[in-house]
This record gives sequence, C-alpha cells and structure tokens, in this order.
Amino acid sequence: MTNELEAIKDHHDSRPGPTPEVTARAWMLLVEETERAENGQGQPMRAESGRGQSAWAGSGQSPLARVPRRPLRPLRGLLSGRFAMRAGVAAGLAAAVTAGAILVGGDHATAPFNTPPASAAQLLRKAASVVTQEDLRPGPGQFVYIDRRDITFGSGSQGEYTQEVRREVWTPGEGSGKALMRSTYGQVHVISGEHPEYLPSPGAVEYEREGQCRGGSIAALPLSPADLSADPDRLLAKVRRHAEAFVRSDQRRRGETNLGEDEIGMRVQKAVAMSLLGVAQDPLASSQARATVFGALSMMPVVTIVPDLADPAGRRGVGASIRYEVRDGWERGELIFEKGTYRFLGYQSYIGQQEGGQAKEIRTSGTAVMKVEVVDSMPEVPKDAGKPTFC
Amino acid sequence: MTAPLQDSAPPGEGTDAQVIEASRRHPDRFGAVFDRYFVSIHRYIDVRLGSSAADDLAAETFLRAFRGRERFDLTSSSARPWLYGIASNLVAEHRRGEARRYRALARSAEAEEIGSHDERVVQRVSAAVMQPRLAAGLARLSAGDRDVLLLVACAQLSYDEVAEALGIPQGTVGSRLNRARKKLRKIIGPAGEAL
Repeated sequence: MTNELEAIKDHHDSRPGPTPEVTARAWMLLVEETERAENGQGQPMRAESGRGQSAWAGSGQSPLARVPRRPLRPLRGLLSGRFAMRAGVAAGLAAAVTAGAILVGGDHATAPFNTPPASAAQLLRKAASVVTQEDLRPGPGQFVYIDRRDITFGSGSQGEYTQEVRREVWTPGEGSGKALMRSTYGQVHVISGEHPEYLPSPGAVEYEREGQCRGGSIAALPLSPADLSADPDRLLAKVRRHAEAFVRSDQRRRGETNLGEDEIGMRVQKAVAMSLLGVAQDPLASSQARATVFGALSMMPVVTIVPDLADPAGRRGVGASIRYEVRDGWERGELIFEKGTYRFLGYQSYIGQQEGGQAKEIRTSGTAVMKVEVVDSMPEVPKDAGKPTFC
Repeated sequence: MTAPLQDSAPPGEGTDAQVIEASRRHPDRFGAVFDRYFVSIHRYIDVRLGSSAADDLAAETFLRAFRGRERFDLTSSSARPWLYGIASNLVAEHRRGEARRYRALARSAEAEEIGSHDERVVQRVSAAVMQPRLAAGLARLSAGDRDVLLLVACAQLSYDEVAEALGIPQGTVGSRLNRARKKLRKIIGPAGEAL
C-alpha cells in the first residue's frame, strides 16, 4: 500500500537528476559569480526587479543564456575522434572573430632585449611585454588580414599524414560583416599507411565563411575577455579550476567511472595547456589577452626553453615548450619567437612516446604567421566555391 | 572550489553554516554548498516544473543563495531549508506553469490508460512517470499547500525546516500539510489506489 507522500517521494527519487553538462554549467556560473565577488564587483549578474521577481522572468531570457555556450577556444585533440585535423591549427573560423590583432614581421630594426633569455619564464615575460605593443585595430570597413602557413596532421584507420596549407583570414572590424578564410592546399606527406584519397589536391583553393562550419569541438574552457585581461596569476588559477570541472564533467558524460586521480590529473594538465596555448598561438586574439596568457604560461614549471628551432616556414627562433603527459606518452606544444625581438613567429605541436627505449616525437600541427596587417577589402567568394572539405 | 561531483558533504569541510560563514570572507568556499545540494535542488524543481526549467532554476537557486549568503542564519546548521526556500520562491514565480504541467501530466497519463492492461501495469510500476491522479491532485492544491506537501515529501524536511524555508509559522505547516493530504486522498482514492 502506498500513501501519497511515498508516491511523491518515489517519483522524486526516480528523476534522473541534472546531466553533467547542466551541473558543470551551473557550477561555472557560480564560479564566475564568486570571482566577481572576490574582485569586489558586487552582484552584477542581473538586476533584481523591485517586486521580488527574477529579472529574467519577464525578459524571456534565462540568465544562463548569458553564459557563452560556445567556447572561446576549442580543445582540439582532447576529445577528437574523427579522421581530421588533430590539434593546434585553427581550421575553422569559429575562433577568428575576436577584435584586435598583432603585427608580425614589422620593423625588425629594434631588438629591445639583447640578452638572450635564460629560461622559458624569461622568454615568455619578454614576449608578453612585446605583444602588448602590437595591436592592430581595423577601422570601419577595414579588415585584419592574416597570412599563415599551416601544417595539418591527420590520423585514422588508413594511416597518418601531414598536409601543408596556406590560410588567409580576413576579419572585419566591429560591425563590418563576417570573416572569411581562404585555404590553399599544398603537398600531402604520408607518415604511414596509404595516401588518403579524400584530401584536397595540391593547389586546390577553398573558402570558408564565418559561421559556415561548426567549430568541431565538443567542449572547451570558457574564457571570457575579462579573464584574459586579468593578471596572469588569476587567469592561471581560473583556467585550472575550469579544467578540473571540465575534465570531471567530461568523464561523467563519457561514462568513465573508474578513472584514477592520476589520469584525471593528466587530463587537467592537458586541458590547461591546450586552453592557454590556444590563445597564445592565435594571432586574432587581442594583444592584451595574449600577453596575459604568455604571463600565465611563464608561471608553469612544465614550460621549458628551446634555444634554437625553426618554425614551419623555416624561420629560426627560440621556443617555449610545454609538455603534458597522456596515457600512452606525452604531447607537447611549442611557441616560437623571433630571436632578439621576441615577436611571435608560430606554433607547433607534437605527440611523443617511448619506442625501444628512445623518445620518438611526431609533429602533429604547425602554423607560421607570415603577415598580419590591416587591409581595406576582402576577396569575393567565387560563385562555384564548394563546401570546405573540413566542415 | 572543487568540481561538482557529489551531493553530500565531503568529510572535513565543516557544517553548512561553517562553510557559508567562511564564504563571506572567501567566496570560493561556497562551492561546497553547491557540491552538497545541487542535485537535490535540481530534482525538487524537476518534480515541480520539469527538467528543462530545473536546469535553469537550480543554477539560479545557487546564484541567489550565494548573493544572499550574508542573510543566512548561522545558527542553522543545515542550509537545506534555506536553499529549498529559495528554490520554492523561484518555483512560485512559475506557479501557472507548475499547475499547467500537472494538468498536462494528468491528461497525458489518462490518455495512456486507454492502452492495454500490460501497458498500464508498466506505467503503474514506473515511478518516473507521475501518476495521473497524483498529478491531477497536485494541480488542484493551492500553491501554499503544495509548497508544504512537496517540501515534506520530496525534500523530507521537518515541520520546523519547512517553516524556516517558507517563512511561515510551524502551526501553519501542520495545517497546510493536513489539508493538502486530505485533498489529495480524495482525488487519488483511499490508500493510493490509483498509485
């Protein structure tokens, strides 16, 4: 025999509860609120109406709608499962929408820091100082133009390959329309297995309009412009907190119930590294954001200096390398700066493992920023332009 | 703040009152309150307004709680009544939606009763689907009576705690609960025959 209270309780207990995504999102909201309180910014999330009503009740907009559901930076590689680009290269235009840019390859006459950095921390602090002085702001009707040389990496059942791609991005100033990316494909280099048939042929040109393709990322750490303009200490602490929340939420979403703390710790480290590197390598991120991120990276003990290396375009530079462990080995991201000026040249990433007692690394992505400038126009997309291959 | 993995207090973090007091100086400590009660609050709102609304309003409950932590009575060892009170206030802003939801549940379940005996048996043993007469009964309760009934039934709050949550005298809790249960029994039948 069941009474009404038990029936209600049974029904209540049978409810599935919030999904990990809902929990993580609510938690993120609370974290942001606590941080506002810590910063002495009061309670600004929304004004309460005078009659005790939730302010959004009449507005038709949930307060949660104000939290960016779309991550600022994808965590490529962390969750990737398709035969496509593995990491690092900004293949989509999802990230290519922020205002501001940096100038690369400008006046090389001045070398503000003549003493070579002795550590990665020194290098990154110098880079942070330099990048704050480089900010391009397109005027009305103008565009920030970026010319990059990318190396993409693919792996799957057919084998592994890399392909060179020239990517040109035109990002309009505020309110001036949508960004455009033009990809000109180069040679395919097979690492193992067969030559993939579906890749664009060398010389093929593809256009991708902003919003045309999905970002391709399942999850990422939600870093706001405010986070990225904060001091590096605070940013690093926040990224770590977000990374832990994300990893634990993702673990539950994927039904992984037996992960040890070591494995979780590795994933957190990877999420932190990828999140910061994603901004650090992005020439479309604001100079302030990148300076903050360089500063945050400089405080991580796992970042080491590489005194001499070449970017994907063959330019010599000095690197800051961040390595994080993964289950079968390690992965590594490398920020490359011009010697003497410490301007950002490019980025490359590697996966590594021990084979026969020796460390073996494969480059999984690379990007060399060749030019960043303000231009007055962007090209027309040909009428017969097809859908991008990786869309 | 730690990740939201659990619905119970981690050992060594102190009582709710201690945590909330600490959060007044160190806001990030409030995360422990979230860890302890988010799932429970979500379930409670889910019963009343459905899962979609619960997703938003459970989060809103903790935002309001955080903002109002200075008003939390530190002599209360548990934050449950306080949080359920906030959640109930949020639900109250959607009273029409709640009643409409119960009526809809009652109607949809009645329609399903036309089905086979086997289907009905399956449905009757599935507590995940609110039983039609129970839903109909909840729809007919006054908002105040429903608040008390559901806080007792779902949250298992004591009379004292319900009084604290809703800001009403303890005697009112008893009278509202009695009235709600009587009404409900009339609708669902003796001994919950429809359940």
